[in-house]
Amino acid sequence: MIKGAKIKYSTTQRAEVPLRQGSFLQRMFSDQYSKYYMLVPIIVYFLLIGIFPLIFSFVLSFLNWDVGAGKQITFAGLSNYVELIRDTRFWQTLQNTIIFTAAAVSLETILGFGLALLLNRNLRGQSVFRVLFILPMMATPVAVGYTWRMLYHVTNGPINHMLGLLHLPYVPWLSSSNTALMSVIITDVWQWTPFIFIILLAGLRSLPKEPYEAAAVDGASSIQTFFYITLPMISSVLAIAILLRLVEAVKIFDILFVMTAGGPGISTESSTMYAKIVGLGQFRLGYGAAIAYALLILSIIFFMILTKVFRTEKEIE
Amino acid sequence: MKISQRTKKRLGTSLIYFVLIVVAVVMIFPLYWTFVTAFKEPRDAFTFPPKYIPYLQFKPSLFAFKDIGLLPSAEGSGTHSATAILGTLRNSIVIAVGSTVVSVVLGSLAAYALWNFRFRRWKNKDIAFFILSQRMLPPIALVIPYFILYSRLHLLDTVLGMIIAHTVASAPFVVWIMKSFFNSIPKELIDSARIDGCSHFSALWRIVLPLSLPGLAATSVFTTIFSWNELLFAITLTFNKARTFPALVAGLTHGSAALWWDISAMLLISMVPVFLFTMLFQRYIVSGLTLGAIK
Repeated sequence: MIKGAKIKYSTTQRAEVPLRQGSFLQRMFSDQYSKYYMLVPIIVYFLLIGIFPLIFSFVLSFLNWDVGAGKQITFAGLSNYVELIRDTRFWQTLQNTIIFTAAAVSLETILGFGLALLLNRNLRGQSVFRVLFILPMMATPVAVGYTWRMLYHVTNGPINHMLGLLHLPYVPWLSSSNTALMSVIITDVWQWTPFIFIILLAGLRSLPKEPYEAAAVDGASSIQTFFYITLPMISSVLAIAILLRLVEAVKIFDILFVMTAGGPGISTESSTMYAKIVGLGQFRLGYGAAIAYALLILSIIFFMILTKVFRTEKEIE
Repeated sequence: MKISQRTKKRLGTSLIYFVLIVVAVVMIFPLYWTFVTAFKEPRDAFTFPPKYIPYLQFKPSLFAFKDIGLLPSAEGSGTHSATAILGTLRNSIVIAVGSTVVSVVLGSLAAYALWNFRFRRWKNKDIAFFILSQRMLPPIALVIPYFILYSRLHLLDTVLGMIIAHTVASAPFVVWIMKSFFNSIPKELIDSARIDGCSHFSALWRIVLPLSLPGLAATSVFTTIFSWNELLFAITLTFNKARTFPALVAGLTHGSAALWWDISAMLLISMVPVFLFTMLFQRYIVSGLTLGAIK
């Protein structure tokens, strides 16, 4: 099938067919270019469906495009961005998102790590626990939102009921702007702790045993073993798990939409929700695009900082 | 009083079991609650004090399922119609399968190319980063331009439009996982096949993919679940014809008072397929997640 190819094959080098053999059509249909043919579909797809809409959005953010009766599309220059800086709701929702992300991911990491450590022994019934533990993250976020909305109900919900049985005071959960964000964070922790747990459990399982045996011989306590042996060896897996969780947490929308629709007030409104409300709820497309773009830039900066901190670039290879 | 070493160890193990059981209960209880509420009659669903145990505290009934139209009921039509629910379920399934197929095709090709070849003009690492960074895009930055573009292209409220949108998020994931799985295949296999006259496409189809079926299974499960659960694109880009099930469920309480038994029944419908999937493909899910994270 490869006509007249001169294959240089040595034991240290992979066979590489030299390019540009045959006429144009021959080359196009030969196997030589298959490496491009395989990659081109996905690249083209992303350019069309990923990059082009982003450029479009960028242009949009400089326009005044409020869909309504008799309004024209006008060039707005930087006025959308100026309005963004002055928009207190934007900063408030950004703060909500940051608090949510930081709190949720930290708790999920600590709890997930703890559970993984607990289950990393040879206990009976391990796989049963494992299956039970990963169920929450498999549930549809919409379902999780509604379920917890039922649980959090102040008078009829099971949580307050059980608190009452233990003679603990009722918590207003979703109905008070003081506790709503915390309630939503708890829900997210419930759903996504299994994610960190399952990744770390597999990571812990794959660690070599020798360092632990050496440490036991040297008489290290379990705390010392944890900090000097377990933690350094698991750090790259931990970093990836946290990074993956962070990427998802900043985009949080589903459970907030279903549980509180951003309320009470805007105490549980995330940045994504605000951008959606402005862009496709109020249909101020120009300003909405500006908000979305600002969030995009912030996300990019955030993740570039994270990859530098975690030095995971080579993991991406 | 000296506690012997063995007793200490037993206490420790019992404590661990206790904690694990508590955690398991915490994980399961919300799901149990939804399950149980779906089988309650309206007067039992939202009472004080809440009723936990079927048969002991309330009589389970299929009222909710009849009410949403899935089961025939004697009293005539209920609150929702079966066609709406079955229609959205069908949409969700079609979109999930469609975006999985497209993502897996695009992604496997790209993963093979990145794994097998050395590109000269742009380094492999950079190409991989370009593809994977698509995953980190906040979908909100895409939703507004998609809305405008789709309305011009008449893709709004279509299944095809949703498949296209979901693939953008799923394909990078496929590339990442498949590349990890490909890494464990020796490249000499490909070389010997090519010496025998095999093209790269054949090599991919006949050698590499069969060897990495677990990876395919894992990624397919993930992309299907992701598409099934997805909400933001679903509520902004679909309305009637291509409405997905989560979008339908999300709109339930924004109107009249919440009918928790109906909602629970619908939640069960959305959760049960995913749970079945999880139980069946549990091994693949775990290996897929972890192989991506642990090299």
